[in-house]
Amino acid sequence: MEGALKRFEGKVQFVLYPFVLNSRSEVATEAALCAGEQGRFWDFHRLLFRRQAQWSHIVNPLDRLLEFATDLHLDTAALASCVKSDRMLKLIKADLAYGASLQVQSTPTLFVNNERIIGARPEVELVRVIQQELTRAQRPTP
Amino acid sequence: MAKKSRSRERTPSMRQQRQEAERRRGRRRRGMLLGGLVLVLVVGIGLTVRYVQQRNLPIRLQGAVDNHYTLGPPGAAVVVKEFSDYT
Repeated sequence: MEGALKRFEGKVQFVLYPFVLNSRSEVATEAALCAGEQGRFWDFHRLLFRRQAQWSHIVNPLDRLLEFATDLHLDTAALASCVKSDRMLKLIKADLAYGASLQVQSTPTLFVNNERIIGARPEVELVRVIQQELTRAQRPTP
Repeated sequence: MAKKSRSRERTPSMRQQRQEAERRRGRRRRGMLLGGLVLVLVVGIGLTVRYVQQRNLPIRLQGAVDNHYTLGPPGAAVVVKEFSDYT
């Protein structure tokens, strides 16, 4: 996705909605949002995907995720305290409800403006849909 | 001593056998037709559900950008919203 975004830099806004499907993912999302409190959300987000095999099978992956936080030179005590407080759960639940209201049932699901794309698609297809939407947006309204 | 029964078991005539075979064929044909109809119905429902999921939802997508991590300029002509899970 980020490759496609780079291609349209300045013309496209990308908004991420964590759509939690299980308890491991919930902890990871909380950790990412808590990393965001330290200004490192995107770094943590990318690391979670890059190192998915290292944590996604663990029942309670918080300790492993804190190791990632150490690698990113984050304040791990603050991050752990943030995750354990569950204060990010409200945001996560709100996103789940929003996704449900849009009939999101699986991930990834993308909306390029109002165009729905279900499942992982090749970058070339995303580029095509974004280009199509940009052309539509630039067309003068009658 | 019990009397020996005189009635003999009747064997179906050729005509009856033909009729029975015809009936069996008819049943099989009806079964296949019904199976085909059920299959078409299931595929049709699946395609309809897929279409409904894919169709545009213009009004319900408004807003909901606040409090979310974003990349790119706010107010851009194209907004990509991604619902994703880390696992």
